[in-house]
Amino acid sequence: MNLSALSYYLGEYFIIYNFKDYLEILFFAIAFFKIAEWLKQDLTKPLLAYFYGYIGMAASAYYFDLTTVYYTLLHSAPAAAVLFIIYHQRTLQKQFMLSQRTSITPAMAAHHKDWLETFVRTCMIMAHKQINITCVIERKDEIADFIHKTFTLDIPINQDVLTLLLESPSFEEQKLIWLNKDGNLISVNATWGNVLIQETLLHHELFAWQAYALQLSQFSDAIIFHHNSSTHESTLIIQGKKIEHLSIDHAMKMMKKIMQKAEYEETMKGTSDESGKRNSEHTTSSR
Amino acid sequence: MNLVNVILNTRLLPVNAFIAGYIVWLMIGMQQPTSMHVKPQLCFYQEPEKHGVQAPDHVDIWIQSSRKTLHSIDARNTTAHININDLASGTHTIELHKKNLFLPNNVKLLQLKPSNFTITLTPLTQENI
Repeated sequence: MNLSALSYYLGEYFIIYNFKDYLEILFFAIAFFKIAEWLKQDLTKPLLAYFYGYIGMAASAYYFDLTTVYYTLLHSAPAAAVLFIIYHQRTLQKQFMLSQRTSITPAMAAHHKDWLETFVRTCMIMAHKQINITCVIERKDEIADFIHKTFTLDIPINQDVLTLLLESPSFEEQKLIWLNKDGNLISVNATWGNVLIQETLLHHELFAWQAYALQLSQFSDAIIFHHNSSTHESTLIIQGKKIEHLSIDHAMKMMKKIMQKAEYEETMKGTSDESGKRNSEHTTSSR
Repeated sequence: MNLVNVILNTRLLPVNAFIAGYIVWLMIGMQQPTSMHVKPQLCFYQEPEKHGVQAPDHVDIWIQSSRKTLHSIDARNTTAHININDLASGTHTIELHKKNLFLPNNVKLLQLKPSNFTITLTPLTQENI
């Protein structure tokens, strides 16, 4: 089939007449791909199915010549887009974090300034005992949807408690240790959640835990740390990137730097918000 | 794996996005005016008897209307019809008009190239017949 015949059939059956039509279709396809990609990131609600459903309804209304339904759907598309944005998990998380920032202050942080050092020291002890450690550090984004825990500890990190737990025969080294940014031990023997497992494509070049960790780091700002007791090398996974062959000391420094930077940015933002609020209050009272 | 899972599969996201993009483009674009380049064949009718006709095979036209109209009138198969009953033997210049194309009123003729062309009528000898 030559090009002119193909062009003829495209015109006849798909009503595409010239190259400008291809450009227009490409524009819509890219826009919809980006929207679909973003909607797919919400794992709590089937927003992508709703999106396809909306387009399907509009197409059906057009095909069956239901003009009122068609124009109603067409004109209410911006409102539907706003609803998608509002109910998207990421937006809700951001709003939740904003509201949290003003009311809750990390009271425990001051008491556990050196929690990371304590944890790393315990990891080194465990490495000598041939125990591998895989740990997830939860930061601003909630990861409860992606990690499954059988019990909750939520206790400040303490070397004695950690050693006791990790040396216990019931501790399974292929499972996860879950910490948070305030230095609390949330759980041990945690596993990757079903939502994450379903979303992850396993690759032969990666270990399963690395694939899940990479996926988790794309969904959230969590840091995933792994220490291999046989090679004495550490791996860090953050924001969809894997950093391998690190010494444990180097890994700790990197984690500390990342967390301090995020904390500093958060503090600066909080300060600027507060000063802005004060200024506006001052202006109101002077009036 | 059921149909919903297939539709929502991450790997099929580009394909689904392309299909959705095409459907939406079609829904919106069907009422929008669009231009189209067509090469209508020149068709002569009521030819004088025992005469041969030498003329161009086709002309180029650019027409504009809604996509729906262009599709429904099968614009790609437009033909220019020219009555040559009054012409005698020899060379003549014929001017083409929209009426020769029998286009509906809601189809706009943007350009016609060439707008006039030469036609030669030659009497056929017994041998040629």
